[in-house]
Amino acid sequence: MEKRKKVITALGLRKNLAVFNGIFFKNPVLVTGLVIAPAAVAANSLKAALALAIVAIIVTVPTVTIASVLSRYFKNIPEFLNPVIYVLISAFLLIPSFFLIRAIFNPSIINTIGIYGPLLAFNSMIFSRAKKYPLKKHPAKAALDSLSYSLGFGLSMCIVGSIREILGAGTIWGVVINPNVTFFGFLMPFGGCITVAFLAAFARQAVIIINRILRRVMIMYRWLKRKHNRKKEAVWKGNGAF
Amino acid sequence: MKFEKSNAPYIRYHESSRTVMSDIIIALLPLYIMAAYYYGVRAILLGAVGVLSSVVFDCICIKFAGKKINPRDLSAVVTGMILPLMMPATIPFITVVTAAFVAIAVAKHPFGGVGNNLFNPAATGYAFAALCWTNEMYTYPVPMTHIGIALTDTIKYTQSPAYTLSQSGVPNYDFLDMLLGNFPGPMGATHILVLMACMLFLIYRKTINWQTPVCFLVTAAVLAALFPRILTGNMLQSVMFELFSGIMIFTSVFILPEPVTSPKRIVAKSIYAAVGAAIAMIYRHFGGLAEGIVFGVLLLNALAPVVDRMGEKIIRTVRRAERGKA
Repeated sequence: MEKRKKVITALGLRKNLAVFNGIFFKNPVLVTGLVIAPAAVAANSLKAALALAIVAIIVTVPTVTIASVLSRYFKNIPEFLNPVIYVLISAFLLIPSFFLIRAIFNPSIINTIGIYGPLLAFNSMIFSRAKKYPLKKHPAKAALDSLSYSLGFGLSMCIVGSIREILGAGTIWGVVINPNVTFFGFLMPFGGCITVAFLAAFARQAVIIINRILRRVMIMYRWLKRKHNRKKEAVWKGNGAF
Repeated sequence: MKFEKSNAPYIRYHESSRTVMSDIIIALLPLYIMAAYYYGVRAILLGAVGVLSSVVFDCICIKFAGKKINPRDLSAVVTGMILPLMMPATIPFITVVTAAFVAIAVAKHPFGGVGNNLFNPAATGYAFAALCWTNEMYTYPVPMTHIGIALTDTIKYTQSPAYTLSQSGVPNYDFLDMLLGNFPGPMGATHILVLMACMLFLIYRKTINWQTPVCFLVTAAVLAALFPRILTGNMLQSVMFELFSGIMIFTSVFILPEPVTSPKRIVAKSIYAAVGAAIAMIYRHFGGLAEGIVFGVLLLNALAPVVDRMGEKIIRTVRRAERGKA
């Protein structure tokens, strides 16, 4: 992680790209492990995973934005009240999100995702984002940051959900693909845990490999720049001497 | 004079991982012969598929981890041989392959490979298969019927005595048949006499210690006698059927005393076995599946360090008491 930060700082991209870290480099499910429970238990089909992702986006983004606004413009609020306010806002936002997913999918989707939908109102993604980022940054940046985190959450949920649905039921989005060989265990929580564990291992390895490639690119870039500068210097000196 | 520099163990005991594993393989072979006698060639074919798939997955995992493949390591062969013996002879081949995959790639190598696994690989594979293919795992063919390799013929299926007991009925098999394995059940776990001989062989070779299986079976027998599931309430009958049906004795010989996942001290091992038997009997009384020993073993594998600490405490208190007397 340290090395990656150095590289991106050197490239001058860190300030701009750190906002999008949540999508892959600090994915809340696969890399940082912030919200594992819904992925391991409730996301046993693509529909349920997408429903949970929608709920997460609707709940997380406004909460973090409001948290940023509060910490920026209302500095009189004592610190111990912050979590209470966040939870109140996010729990209030749950109601429209549930109406939305009931309209998009069947009303029975509420039973499918079970307790893990309402539990998203106080997931650790909200708290880590609301505490870290928006205290110093502009609310718009905080919104973008939380959006990237919840998008990363939704992306990994969809991957986990589709893998579990294909392996467990032989279908995807309810369409039958392969009914012959199915592993029923993947629809159960222990199968979800195994899936998330393997995906997390692969994702972390991918992060390491990408960092390595970035570092090499950076070294190449520096070398080329130095060479270019030397040429310039040589030309200038040569001219002066002449 | 020439000195050779080398590190600590200067005097080596002849026992190694290889001798332990080859002993277990020798003990497993007669079970395959019995299974082939009762269920035909398919039993041996299932064993071959299990061994082949687990060895292949093992090699792939070792390569993936960037280690060297050790050709003297037989633990994958043992896992592959144990797995099909706990299943009925009519199990599809894909089940065996999946169980081997789960055993090797999920339970063994992510935790660090041979000697570092937290859970027993064979037990994990069996548990996964039992939850995924519940129907196929718990309907057994009648012994001495011809079973084709592709399962195209019609086969007589029956329920095992373990299922009959769970429906609080009395299984209709006599003692000699139970001893010889002439009753429906997993293809390697019904041959009680052969299993007992294997147990004696392994204890004589000091591959397993005698305390683990004995504690396990005695606790299970006592619990079966005190809380019989059959309606007639005959204690002896209850003990016989509870111990001989399912994979009770097989587990106590081949899965429970596994050196990696079980506790280290003898006292701790005895506690471990007794608690395992209690969990198995509780699962049989109240559980959903007909056979729950494996889940008890997995639960206890996670608790093995705790049991080890408990055994240590018991040993210390006993020593202190002795010192106080003297």
